[in-house]
Amino acid sequence: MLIPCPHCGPRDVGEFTYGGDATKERPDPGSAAAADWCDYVFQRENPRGPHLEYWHHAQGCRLWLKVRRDTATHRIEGAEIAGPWAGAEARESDSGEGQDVA
Amino acid sequence: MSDLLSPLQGHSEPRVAVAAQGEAGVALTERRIVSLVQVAAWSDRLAQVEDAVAAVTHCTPPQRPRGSSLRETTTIMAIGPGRYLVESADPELAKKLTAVIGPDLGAVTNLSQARSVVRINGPKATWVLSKGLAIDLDPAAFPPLDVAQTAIHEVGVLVRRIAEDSFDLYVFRGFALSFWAWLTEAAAETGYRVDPPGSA
Amino acid sequence: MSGFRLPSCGLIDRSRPLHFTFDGKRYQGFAGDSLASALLANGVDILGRSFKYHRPRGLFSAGVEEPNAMVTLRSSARTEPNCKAPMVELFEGLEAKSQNRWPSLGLDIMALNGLAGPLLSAGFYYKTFMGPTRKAWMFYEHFIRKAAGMGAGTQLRDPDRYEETNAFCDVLIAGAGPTGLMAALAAAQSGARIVLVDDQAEMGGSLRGTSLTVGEAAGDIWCRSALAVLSALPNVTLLPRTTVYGYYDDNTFGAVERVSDHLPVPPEATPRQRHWTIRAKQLVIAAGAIERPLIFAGNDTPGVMLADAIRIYVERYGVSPGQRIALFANNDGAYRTVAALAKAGVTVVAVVDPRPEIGAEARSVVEGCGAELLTGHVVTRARGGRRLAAIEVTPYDPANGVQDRLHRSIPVDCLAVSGGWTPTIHLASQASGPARWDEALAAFLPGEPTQPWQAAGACSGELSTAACLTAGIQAGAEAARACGFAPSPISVPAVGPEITCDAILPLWDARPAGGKGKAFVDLQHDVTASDVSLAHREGFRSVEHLKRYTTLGMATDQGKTSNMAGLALMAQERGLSIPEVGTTRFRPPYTPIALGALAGQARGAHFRPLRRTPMHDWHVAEGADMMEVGLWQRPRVYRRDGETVEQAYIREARQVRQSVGIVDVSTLGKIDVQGPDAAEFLNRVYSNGFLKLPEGKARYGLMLREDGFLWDDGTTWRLGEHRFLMTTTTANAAPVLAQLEFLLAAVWPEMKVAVTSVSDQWAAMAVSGPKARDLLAAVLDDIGMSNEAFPFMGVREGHLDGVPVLVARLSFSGELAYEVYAGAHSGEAVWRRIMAAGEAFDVVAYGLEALGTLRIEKGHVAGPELDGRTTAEDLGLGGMTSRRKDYIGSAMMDREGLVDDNRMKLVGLISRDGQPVRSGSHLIVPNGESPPRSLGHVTSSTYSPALEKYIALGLLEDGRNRIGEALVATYPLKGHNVDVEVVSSHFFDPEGSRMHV
Repeated sequence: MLIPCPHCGPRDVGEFTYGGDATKERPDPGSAAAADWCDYVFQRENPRGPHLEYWHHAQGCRLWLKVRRDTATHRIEGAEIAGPWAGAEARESDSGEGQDVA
Repeated sequence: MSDLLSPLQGHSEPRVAVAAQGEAGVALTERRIVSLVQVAAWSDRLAQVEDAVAAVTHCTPPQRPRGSSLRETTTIMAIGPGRYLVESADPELAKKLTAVIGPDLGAVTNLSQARSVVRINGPKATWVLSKGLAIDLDPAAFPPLDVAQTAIHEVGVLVRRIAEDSFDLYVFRGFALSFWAWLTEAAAETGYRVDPPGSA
Repeated sequence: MSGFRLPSCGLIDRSRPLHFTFDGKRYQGFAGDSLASALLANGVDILGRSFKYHRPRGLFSAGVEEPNAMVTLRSSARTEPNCKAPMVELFEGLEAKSQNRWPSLGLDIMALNGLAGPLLSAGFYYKTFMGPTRKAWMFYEHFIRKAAGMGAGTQLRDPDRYEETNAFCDVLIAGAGPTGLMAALAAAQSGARIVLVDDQAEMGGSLRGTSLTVGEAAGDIWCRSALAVLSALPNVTLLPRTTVYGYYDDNTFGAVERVSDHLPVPPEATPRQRHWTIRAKQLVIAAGAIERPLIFAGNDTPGVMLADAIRIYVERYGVSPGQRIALFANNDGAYRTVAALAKAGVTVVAVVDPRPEIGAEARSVVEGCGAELLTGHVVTRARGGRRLAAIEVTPYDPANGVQDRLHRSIPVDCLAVSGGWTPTIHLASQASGPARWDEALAAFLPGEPTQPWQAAGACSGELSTAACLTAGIQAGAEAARACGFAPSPISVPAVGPEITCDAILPLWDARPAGGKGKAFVDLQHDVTASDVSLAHREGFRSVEHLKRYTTLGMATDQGKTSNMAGLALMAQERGLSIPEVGTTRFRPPYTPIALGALAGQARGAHFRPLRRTPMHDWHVAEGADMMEVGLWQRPRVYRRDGETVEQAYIREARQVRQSVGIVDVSTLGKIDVQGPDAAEFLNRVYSNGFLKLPEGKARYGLMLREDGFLWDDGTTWRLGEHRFLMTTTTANAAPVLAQLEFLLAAVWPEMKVAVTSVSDQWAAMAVSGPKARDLLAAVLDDIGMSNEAFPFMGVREGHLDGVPVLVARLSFSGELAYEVYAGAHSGEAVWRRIMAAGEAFDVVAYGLEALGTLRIEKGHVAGPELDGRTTAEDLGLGGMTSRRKDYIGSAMMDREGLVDDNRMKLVGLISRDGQPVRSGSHLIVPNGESPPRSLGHVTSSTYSPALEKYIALGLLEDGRNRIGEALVATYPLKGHNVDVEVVSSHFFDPEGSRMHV
């Protein structure tokens, strides 16, 4: 399986570690009930088909990625950076234009 | 007491191990790092950080993911969005970068002794590296000056292509000897020569 | 003795004789021979005994599909069992042995199994030995496994090297026969990167040695010139002797190259085999097709062979497998064998064909060679035990079936059989929907691709050379186009007249009703046609069940010659068509592969990478016992002459408490944490407060998991307002960093914090003991060492003999202690300097054992206690879980089960009878109920020089209320029982006075 790392390009899945369901959001500690935490920590769907999941490019650029993968076919639709650099892949890929600016 | 001990001391000394066909397909050289510093910019301060790096090193950071730029003895490698690895012959590099990149802009981390670098060059360099690198080494896919962070034999490695047949391999210091042993074994098939440390 | 070397034809080099042995007997072959062809040329009939019945078996095929001729190659450490003789290239001195026979190939006592045949039908072992009489199976298994089976491997270490490599290309072409060669030529001229793979030493497939003309020349010559063109192109990689065995996600392929298997011994530094991981944008499958046999009684008799294999032995190797040969075929293609035999001057006695009519070319071939043509006939039986002697022939018509009463016998010593062709869809089926049934060919063709591949040539049902060449060009060009190249058209070379395999009569089973004698479906696993019937009668009707019940197709050949016949028989039994019955899916590997090839370089010293600390060489030079801790190499003890490990660690630990010791702690995870939000980030990550940690101070911190359990501990040092150095346990260094990165990416992306591993940047050593301060004061240039200037938990930057160092006053041992961090390259020098200066202070280097002893005496927790099932409260660290802030784990740590009073709690244990307490022992009440109930277990144990007793840490139910109780630490596996007393886990200096001096 190849995961298209937005920074490194397509890389073998062996360079990544799995981070689980990327649709789960950590509850707000100020207001969350026990059930919310239980859901966040323990409850996971096991979908057959499209799944949004975290993958960590641990043996590459070390970015955490949100990867859309079909669990039935292993086909990967795309990957984006999670965190403060979310969306940077767009900047990264068309940065060729900006090369002479600096 | 300022002698710095390489983890390859006693292993990377010059020698020739030729294969059956009688020629060394690659030359291996331990390169000695003077300064290696990681710069990480906050996502809203990238331009300022790049300016600061350029001001200190007189080298413009690469504007392309996986790219690197080179000016005199300074190399700047793009290792992630907003993150650069700067190598230079200036022993004061970390100090100088820290002075201009404060906590308002980003973070500067000295890694000068955290990595070992082996240069591999020669006509069989890509053949030998392919035994461990699961990345496409075709120059069209991985042109000179590009860097790739990946793994060889489960050891994290940053590969920088110097030229078609020449690569620098940055590995974590603790793995350096294990990596060196793997690399020399992989190179035995085509024969290899070890050039004096620091000569590349 | 029927096979013989033909006087002229073949591609072998008759000027280069090669000598080899088979079962110890010396034979001669020629360069270019396979082991199979050389044995055939020497008239060796029996090459092995069959799997279950130990029936004599001869050569059956000329390729990877070989089910019979499995031999053991070489000897001692290089012994390799189960090699298919047709795939073994002959070399000088080759040693081969037959398998599955005892005491010899000629006389096999186990052949009596054949007499007991009815007993050994499908499911025999299950029915007899499993189920209610399972104990019987345990007894008999050993004998059964010895009787049934294959060659024996060696227990010796494999002396050869294996390597792995990676390749990337636009178009991978699997198979270099006419289709693959044409595809490569068509794709390569567009500039696309091509990898062309073939399992033979010489590429060309069916063109090699063929009598067909291709282009202006003989097929073989055309083939060589095509290869010359390809090998001159820089964008083409040719991989002969290589098998693509598996198709994986994202067009990734596994292939094994037999680099040196054709040589007596691999040249120095050259691997025996090389594993290729190939990533291709497009795959062209040009894998060809495999001929299939027909079912009749005695169809496994030596001398019965696949028809096209016979043609190959004649045309490619210059060997005839018999003197009087007959053909039994249901298609025209097989008549090419008759033509080849006739051309070589070998007598073809008869041609038996169930079809009433055959093609004109086929007919003229038979008429030209003078063989008797028996259309509308089948072979019902092969006679002859150790070598085919005669065939029985009977009229057949599709309406009435086999007319057995009219049979006649024809003496022959070799029978060529052909039941048509089975396209090699293995690779395709690993990346496709269900295989597609082709009625005309009576064969399954590749299904709908689920990955970018296309099949061309014989594997997609094109059974003539001309059609293959055309299909190859088309597939190659299309594949190149799909990769974004613009291939220009190339012309198809003209092919001379050939007999094609268009008209097939789908006849599978030529047994007359009620006919006797074993008729085999799966030769390698000894599955007969009546086994399939039996399976059906017993209700195993799905092909998947049939396969598992009878083991049909489950041998190492994966049913290459047997699956189709098995399906056909089951379809016949069920009264369905073959596609209605369906087919099983092929799985990798296509052919068996050596585990060595999968391991590659990762064996011996390279089994996994080793991590060494900056002081590694010093430890080794000092004679330390090094041990693996994860990937790290760490000193366990520094034994002096004659010392045991225990004596050594006791000496080391005692000396630390008496004077001073130094231990390498470079393996701790070290993480640089920087940024304006760094303090707040740490405060959310640790269960205790970090916001108010002053600069120049360190703090011991606990990390919980989100589920509230304790995860990791370590000290974090505040080096500046926005700059921290975090340490983690050795084991959790990587997981903690990954978790911090996750939190900053996925949970708190707004925080301006950067985390970077600096584990390799620093050499770290702990200097502990009453004289630690004096020793460091003697070597540090510029750090004030008084208790006031450098208080407990203080962190200072300075120099040691000019080397920049970080020093923190921390204690894991309970002694006055400091951790000294120096740049990794200076680590050994700093260590040596401290050791040298330490001579005056009676310094000792100590290893992991003594480190453990000292921390157990103090009741400090480590990996064995941080086992993922303990809470901070369990370990007596509840006071470090803040109630005044939110942090990872705070929301879930107070769940009912985590605060239960009865949870196991950390306690100390003292051995009351002078015996060591074994870690892992269970804690039970003495003389209590039987079987005893475990109240907990021992986590860490040591001899304590401070207490002069064996002590341990343990987790004990309601442990804090059991202080003073007498328990037994029992280790039933070793019959080890020790009386222990439950005490506080703080064995030594519970007030901590020693470290605060």
